[in-house]
Amino acid sequence: METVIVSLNERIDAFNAPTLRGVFDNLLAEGHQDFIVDLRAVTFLDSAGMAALVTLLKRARSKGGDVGLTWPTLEVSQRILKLTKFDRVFTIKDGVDDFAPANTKAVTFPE
Amino acid sequence: MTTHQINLELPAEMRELVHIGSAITKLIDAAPEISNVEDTVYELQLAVHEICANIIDHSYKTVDDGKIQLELVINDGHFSADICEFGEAFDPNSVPMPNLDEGQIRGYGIFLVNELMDVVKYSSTACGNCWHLAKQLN
Repeated sequence: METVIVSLNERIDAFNAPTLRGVFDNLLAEGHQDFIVDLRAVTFLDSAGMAALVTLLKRARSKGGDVGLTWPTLEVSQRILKLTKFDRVFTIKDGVDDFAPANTKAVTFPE
Repeated sequence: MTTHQINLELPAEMRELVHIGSAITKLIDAAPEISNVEDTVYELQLAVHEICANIIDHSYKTVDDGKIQLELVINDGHFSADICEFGEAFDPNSVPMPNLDEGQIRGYGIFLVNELMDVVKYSSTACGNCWHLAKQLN
């Protein structure tokens, strides 16, 4: 099964996080277990968006998979992720290619 | 010393919280003494946003037409936000400190507000419930 690269854009917050969770749920139900969530184009990430990422991580790991993140471009957003120790919970790299994924499927949110 | 103030009333709906960012941007833009504008706007927006999302999730959980009143003030580099609502009272002490080493499904919101602001106070009276946030910016 492919590694799913989920590219997130603009605001990921309490308004659209439930929809994002639905996207993750569908991908997990299709049998995907390995994910790279690309945060580089995210301009605002709140606790609901962060919780959606942690939920994905827990469910992917329970199936034997994993979730990697890319750092948001905004330094202030990087600092928030470090405050919440996301860099200890997730593997976070600068770019998607740094994970060297072999067989991939691309998903963009919001579409 | 110049005081800049913006008052805002938002319907208690998650889609309305995007307006907090534009209000704080407007407030900070009016205060030339503030440096590092982009980061400041982001952090203040996140703190105020988290309180409002918490109000919608908890205080107005069973209310369809709730309102959130915000008073945002910059005075000589000092930011304050008074955020009032009229739903169910909330006990901030009931929110456990998140275990950050494990990754959390809940609990990041209030943690972030406490990390980003110098002052976080909550009061509940017969007239409503109010959060007071404050931070010295420069």
